[in-house]
Amino acid sequence: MALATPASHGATTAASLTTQLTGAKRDIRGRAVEAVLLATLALSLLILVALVVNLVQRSWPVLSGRLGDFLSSGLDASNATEAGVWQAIRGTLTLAVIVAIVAFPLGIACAVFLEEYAGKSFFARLIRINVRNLAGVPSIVYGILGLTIFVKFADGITGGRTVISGGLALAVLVLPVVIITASEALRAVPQSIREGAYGVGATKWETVRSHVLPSAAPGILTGTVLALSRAAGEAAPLLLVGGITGLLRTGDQGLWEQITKGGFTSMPVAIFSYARQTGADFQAVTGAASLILLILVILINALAIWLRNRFEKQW
Amino acid sequence: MMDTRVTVKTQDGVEGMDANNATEAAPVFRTRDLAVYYGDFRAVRDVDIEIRGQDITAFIGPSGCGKSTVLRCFDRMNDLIPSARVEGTVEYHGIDLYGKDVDAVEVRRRVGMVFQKPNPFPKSIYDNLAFGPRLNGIKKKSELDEIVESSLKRAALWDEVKDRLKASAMGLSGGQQQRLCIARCIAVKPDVILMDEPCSALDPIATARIEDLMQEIKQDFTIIIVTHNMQQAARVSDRTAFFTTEVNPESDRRTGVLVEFDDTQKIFSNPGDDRTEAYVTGRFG
Amino acid sequence: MEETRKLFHKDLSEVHQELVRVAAGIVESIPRCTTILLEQDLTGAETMILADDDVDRRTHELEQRCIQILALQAPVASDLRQVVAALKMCAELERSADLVVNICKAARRIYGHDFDPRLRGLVVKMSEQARQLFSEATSSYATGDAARAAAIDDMDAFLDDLQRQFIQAVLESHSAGRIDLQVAIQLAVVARFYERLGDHAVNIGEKVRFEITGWLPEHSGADRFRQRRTEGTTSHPAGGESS
Repeated sequence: MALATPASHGATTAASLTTQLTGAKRDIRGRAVEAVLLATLALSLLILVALVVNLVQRSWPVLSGRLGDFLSSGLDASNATEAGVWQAIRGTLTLAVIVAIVAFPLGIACAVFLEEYAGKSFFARLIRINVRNLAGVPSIVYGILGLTIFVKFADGITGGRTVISGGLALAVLVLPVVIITASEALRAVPQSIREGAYGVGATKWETVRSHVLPSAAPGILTGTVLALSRAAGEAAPLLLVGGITGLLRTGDQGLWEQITKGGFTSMPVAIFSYARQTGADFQAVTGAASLILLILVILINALAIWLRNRFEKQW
Repeated sequence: MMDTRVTVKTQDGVEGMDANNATEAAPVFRTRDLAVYYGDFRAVRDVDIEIRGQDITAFIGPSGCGKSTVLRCFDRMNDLIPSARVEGTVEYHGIDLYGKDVDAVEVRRRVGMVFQKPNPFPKSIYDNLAFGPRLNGIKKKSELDEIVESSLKRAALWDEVKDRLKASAMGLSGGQQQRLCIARCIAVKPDVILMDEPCSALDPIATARIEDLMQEIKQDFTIIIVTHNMQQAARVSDRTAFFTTEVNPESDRRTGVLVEFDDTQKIFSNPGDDRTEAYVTGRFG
Repeated sequence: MEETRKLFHKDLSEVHQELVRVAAGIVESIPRCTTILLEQDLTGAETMILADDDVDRRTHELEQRCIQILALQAPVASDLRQVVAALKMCAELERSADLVVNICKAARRIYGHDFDPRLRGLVVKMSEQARQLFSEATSSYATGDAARAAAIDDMDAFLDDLQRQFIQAVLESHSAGRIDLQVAIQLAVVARFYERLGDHAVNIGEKVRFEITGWLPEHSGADRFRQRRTEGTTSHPAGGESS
């Protein structure tokens, strides 16, 4: 819609100008697009809400009846009234810790090397391509990797089918994701900050440590949170590496012994286990466990967002 | 082509170019046959220039003439660009700057740089200034405090920020940020300060303050400024180098060359080369 | 590359051309005022005196234009020299036009008195020489010929000589009783006017040289002063020198 300027129409009166400015055709197409986008958003939210509602409905008997008991009982695939998720929660948290300890430093260090030190050599390009490919490898393949290397080959260190093997398998799974997101965050740091540091005579490491990493920290944290969420929700590798699906008796072993020698399970594995059982009771148990997992993941995300905001404010 | 090393300042107008009073000042930088390549592309060639101490030297010329490229040779900033290659010699107080044993980090401690867009670190004002000295091993708070204060005072910024040293540097105005970057440079007590179009992102008043600042600090530092604002070069510098581009007949790409390097008052009142005349007056063709 | 700042350069060339026109007008006015002097043409004198107002106006406007260019365009290098030269030339031209007017006023004062052919002949010669000098100066400015401008100084020496001859002849005429004191004084003063016209032409030539090459004339006093100082024979109190 061309606006007629007073210069182009010698005889334009104030009145006609007013009608042109105010009586304009509405931007129909724009508003239609806006409506469609809104509808899409609503639909997505609707699906999410429906999912949650469905879960709550299904698990209501457990939630209302024996929530406390549910949270403190152990894995029991035979008896729905005594089935619980306590060991699964513990397992998921332990796995998360192992993933954090192993994958994050390793992944961030790799990203720092690739972005700050490696440059554009053929070697660096090769690594970057491979990392991207690895990020797309199906998780069950990591399960087989975990089985072969961590369970069988490194038996002495990991103790076989323990939570350590599971954690390591998950760490390897999310490592490419951590590298990629950390790389993106480092790349987003403007070159001017590096130049400013070099300009006063900083070495490369001093520049990275004092300026690049802190600037990239929010982005890196976000990436690690995504990785952690993904790890918390994986079932396939753990099934192969030894997550227990039936009945898990922990006995009276100490915590360390349990971790290094005992069996383990995690929330997704437990859900998988319960979902396979028949009967309405188990359906409720499955639903409740799913809800708990959802809440767990949301809590992890919230923690990371809080951490990121704290970091951003410092700067 | 180049003027000889006569150091008598003619802007005082009293002595004139009296040969009996001329003193030899050893140059801070001297280049010979300097050329810079980005990959295959020769960005600038055959630069022979001598920069004297305690002078403000300006590099002027149209865009693409290589003046920033040459500037960045003096503190080895071109090292940060993977495809950049420097040929010829660049001497700093007689030492080959690109020699095998020369540490670029040490060079940059002595040759500081202020960039076109102010780039304070996303930290507090205090930490911005303390960063460099801390790198150099100064840890005591009292010493750092003193350095921070003196640098800010020399950069004419102390009065404006002395009550909020812990505030983020990103909250300062553009002109203040640039003066902060200059203070940051000064804090490591360099020998030379390079300025790459330091005022192009600033308003006229901020620009004027920085030009005044340059005059105040030039006693202690050698300053080289790249500017596309000819008036600024005329106002501020003692010596001016004019670069231009020449089309390379084989590759049909433009390479930068140094055309004329002389006292600023001569460049702007009666330049020797026609190309300089054409550029400063805006008459081409 | 294309020329930039076209409006500014057009401004500069208009100033240049107007100065040439004013100077050319003065060149023509020299023989005319001589005729007025020799023929004692009162109406002619009146016209020329009034016409000087127009020259004043034009040089004044040129000066203002030059100052405006300095303020608004910040000229450098040859442009700057051109404006500075133009400013100085306005003063030279305005003074030169005033000298022509003075010759006309002298014509009024000696009205009714006659003077002998020898004197008249010398007046014509001086007028012609002054006119030629001024014409050379104007041409060298118009064409930007610094070499030609440099040659004006030599021509001026001849005019100075003519002036001395004329003064001599006037004194002889007076002592021989052919002309009375008033007329003699006026004629002597007129000779000065022609000689001053020549000096202004030399000055214009110097401005041309400055505009083209940046050369500034050094007046002999400055050189003498420096000589004395290096020889150590000058002793003057501190701050006695002005810049």
